[in-house]
Amino acid sequence: MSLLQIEDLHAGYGAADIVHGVDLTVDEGEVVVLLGANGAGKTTTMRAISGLIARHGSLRFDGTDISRAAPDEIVRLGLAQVPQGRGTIADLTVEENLRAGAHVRRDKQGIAEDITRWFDTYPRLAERRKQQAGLLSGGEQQMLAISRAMMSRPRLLLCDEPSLGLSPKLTQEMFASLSRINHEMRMAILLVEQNATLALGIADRGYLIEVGHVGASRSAADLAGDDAIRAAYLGY
Amino acid sequence: MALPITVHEGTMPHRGIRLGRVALVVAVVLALPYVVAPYRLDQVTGALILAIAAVGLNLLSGFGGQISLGHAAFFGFGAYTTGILVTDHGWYPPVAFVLGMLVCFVVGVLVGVPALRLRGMYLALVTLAVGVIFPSLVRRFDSLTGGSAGLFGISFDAPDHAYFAGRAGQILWLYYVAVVALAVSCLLVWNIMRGRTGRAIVALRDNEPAAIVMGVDRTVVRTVLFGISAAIAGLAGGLFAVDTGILTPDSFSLLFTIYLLVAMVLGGRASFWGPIIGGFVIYYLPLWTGELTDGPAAGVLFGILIIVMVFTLREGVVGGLGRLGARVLVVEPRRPTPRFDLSEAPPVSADQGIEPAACQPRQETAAGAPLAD
Repeated sequence: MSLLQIEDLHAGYGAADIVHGVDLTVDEGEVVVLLGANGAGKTTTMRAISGLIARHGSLRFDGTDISRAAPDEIVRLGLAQVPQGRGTIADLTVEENLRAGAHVRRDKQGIAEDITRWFDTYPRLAERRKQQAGLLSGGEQQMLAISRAMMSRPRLLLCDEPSLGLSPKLTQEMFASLSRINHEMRMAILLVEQNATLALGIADRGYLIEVGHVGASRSAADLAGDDAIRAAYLGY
Repeated sequence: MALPITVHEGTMPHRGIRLGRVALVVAVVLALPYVVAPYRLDQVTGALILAIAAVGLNLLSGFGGQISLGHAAFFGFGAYTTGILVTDHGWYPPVAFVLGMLVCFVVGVLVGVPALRLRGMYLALVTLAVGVIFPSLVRRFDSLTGGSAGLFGISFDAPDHAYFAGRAGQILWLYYVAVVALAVSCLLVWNIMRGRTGRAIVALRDNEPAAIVMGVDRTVVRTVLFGISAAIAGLAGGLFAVDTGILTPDSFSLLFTIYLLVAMVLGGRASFWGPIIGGFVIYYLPLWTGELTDGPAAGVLFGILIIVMVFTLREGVVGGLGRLGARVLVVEPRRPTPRFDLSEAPPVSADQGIEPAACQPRQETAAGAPLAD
């Protein structure tokens, strides 16, 4: 059984569905990438999974039906998201952001340990622990957003375009970082990304989403070699 | 000595400065009754009451980012609940304050429900409606509230003690009651804001989607925040009732809410001292301008002063003081926690010595080597 199993997902804002009939699965320890052009429904799918927007269809996380669950219940079940754009709280300090990421947890000892762990992983964050997150550079903010999401000790991490607004060098570092989280913690990751080459470089499988529909799952290598994929991306 | 002086966070000098600041406030509070005339102390009590209401509004609007144009109504609910219970039912005022706060909490939560769907101007309009309706409600239920004629004879008599004897003693008593109420309100706000709930409140204000995917329950946080903010305003209202002794619906007009908003912004929103300082500024400024000139000119001067303050102190009085303070004193943040966390080490028996493994950097077990360089 897959960790995340979605069948016939419909979601959108208000009257119009943007996503109509998405099926996808993510297994334990797997990196799955969701590719597609602007407006194809990638972010909508991610928001629907986390319960940020109204959705219907079959959504199961580790066997539990989450199609009617509230966002905080979904986080408690072990599904964390790095939302698109700024995933940090600008007015909280770096450390407070990490603590806020552990909002659903009550184990003080474990939270303190995890904060140390993420400060060790990203020493730049440790140096700035008392600074407001809004004062960090774009790259540091994204590191903080990922650590913040990991603070809830998820079993599946959703990342919505983590490379948005980052320099190519920082984007590479960020992907290396995600890959490391996947390998060393056996963390399952569902990734939405515009940068297909890099994303497929760390992914096991991928889906192509087009105007609210998703095709069959294909291996990352297969997708990377597909000219049509590049076309879908670049939009010509 | 060259300025600014640098102290390190958590060191003795830093703790000393923080302790000194608290000691200074306590000293001023205790010394004030001996330095100023009773009628001046009475004014301070009035300013304290305004400050409490501003502390309540600041929790909602400053920290929570939700605007309310209806806080005069919560202030009024607290005042009338206390007034009616004390005069008609002979309740002991502190018990009436608590009930007034409960009433305000419930009304606040109810008003907070539309705040889940509305924001900005739309929320402002809903809360404005609450604020506008309140004086009419008071007039409508005049058998209970005394209507436009007013509710009289509300008092909180000082304990029978020589220290609180006479009219001056009564003023002194109410001053201490207001000080305690302000301290309680501030502790409440401070306790909420420094912990888990406070982070959730700021997160919701700052980046709602991110807060929700962190697992913050928006419904609970937003409505309860509204309720607590209203309850604090209600406490201020209860004090206002016993301080003035007379309640008329005109005291709870929109103008009062505007004063609170100005107090919050002038003092420095989303800060702990801001609304208190703002409360004092907004209480004393009209008194001073009124002493300087008469009639309409006083109002004009008051308005001009507010405009000047908003322009010169963009982050409020507290922000301005903070900048000034930074020229004198800089607090260096504590260094990050050491990488070697010995508390993690497995227990070692005396003859065994320390295993090398116990001293390994934590990142060996964490998500990998440093990345963000």
